[in-house]
Amino acid sequence: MNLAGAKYRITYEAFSKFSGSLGKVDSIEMLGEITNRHLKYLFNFRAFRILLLDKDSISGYTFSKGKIYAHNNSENILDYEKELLEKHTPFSEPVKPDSLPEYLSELDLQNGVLWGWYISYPDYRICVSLLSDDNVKFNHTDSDIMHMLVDSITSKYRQICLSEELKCKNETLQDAIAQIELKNREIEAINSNQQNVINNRTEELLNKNKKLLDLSRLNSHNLREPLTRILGLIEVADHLDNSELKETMLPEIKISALELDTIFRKVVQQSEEEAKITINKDGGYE
Amino acid sequence: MNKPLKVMLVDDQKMANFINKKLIEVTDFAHNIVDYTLPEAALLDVEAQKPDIIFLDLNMPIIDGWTFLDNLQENKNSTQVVIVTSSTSSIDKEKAQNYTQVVDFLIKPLNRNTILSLKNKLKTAS
Repeated sequence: MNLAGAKYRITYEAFSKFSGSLGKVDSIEMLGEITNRHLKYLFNFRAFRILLLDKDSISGYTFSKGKIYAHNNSENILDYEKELLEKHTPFSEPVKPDSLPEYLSELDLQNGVLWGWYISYPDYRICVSLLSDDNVKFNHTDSDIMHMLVDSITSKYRQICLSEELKCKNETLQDAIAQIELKNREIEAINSNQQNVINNRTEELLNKNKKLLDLSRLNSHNLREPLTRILGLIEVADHLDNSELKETMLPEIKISALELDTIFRKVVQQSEEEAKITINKDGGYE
Repeated sequence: MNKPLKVMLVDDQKMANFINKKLIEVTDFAHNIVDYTLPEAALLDVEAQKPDIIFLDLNMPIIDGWTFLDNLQENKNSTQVVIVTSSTSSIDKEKAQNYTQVVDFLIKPLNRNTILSLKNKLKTAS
């Protein structure tokens, strides 16, 4: 009675330590190492093996003589485990030497017993197996603590898988964000380029308008100036005598009229040239 | 009676000065007329001539009407100026409002009526 109580207390303390250590675990490898370190304080075994299977992956560890053997593919599933997965029936039976993998064959068991359990969780199917013998006996009463251990390992394993999945999704998300930022920069570049084109075009139009305005001002003066001389002469004609009319007015009217003609030709030519430049520039833009 | 005026004509076209001179004579606008086809010469003489009013063309080579006005301002000469231009562009008319000594803006060809209106305008102003 006392002995059982003491054992229970010691086991409970060992399990508390194990749970505490699990808190720091953040990888599948570390989960194996921590389990390996605490396992021997929880129950007796020669070899302990746990296999976790979900929809598309297999993970597992075999702990023996302080060593860890990791498993992560379907070839690692042993025959008795296949049977467990199929029938779900727990068992304990004498060890058949050829049923064990090579790395367990050197255990030198004295009347070895193989124990097997199948445990199901919403996301995982678990095969647990254990080797004991006359020297290191596994007790039925230890199966409770063994189940608690499997619970803890499984939930930690699940947590690691989810966080890795999250990390992976975050990376994808980061990639997507980087892509979006890249595209945004491209769009900004296109926009600013567009703005430049608009600015250049606007400036060009302003220049053109200024030129047209200058041309209009110049024409206003150049065209009208000789004309105003002719009109002015007519205005004062009444006050000129015959010789002034003949010697001053008529020759001056002729000079002014000829000037006017030259200027008209020049203006038409200039306008045509300006129009040609505009047409060529617009054509070049496409 | 009004005191008789002295007018200075500045236009690179000799004929324009000839026409305006005739109009001033027949309207009895002024008794004394000096005319210049070179604005630079007119600027040199303006202090000595002391005209009461200057008829100024805008479009002239080398020194245009605006430069002529700027020169008057620099020399603190506030002689009244009438711009007489063949340009009908409104830009020039707006620009002329920046010069306080410009009392009128006339578009060529001048005729008796424009000179007479100017005469009245100056009379009411003084």
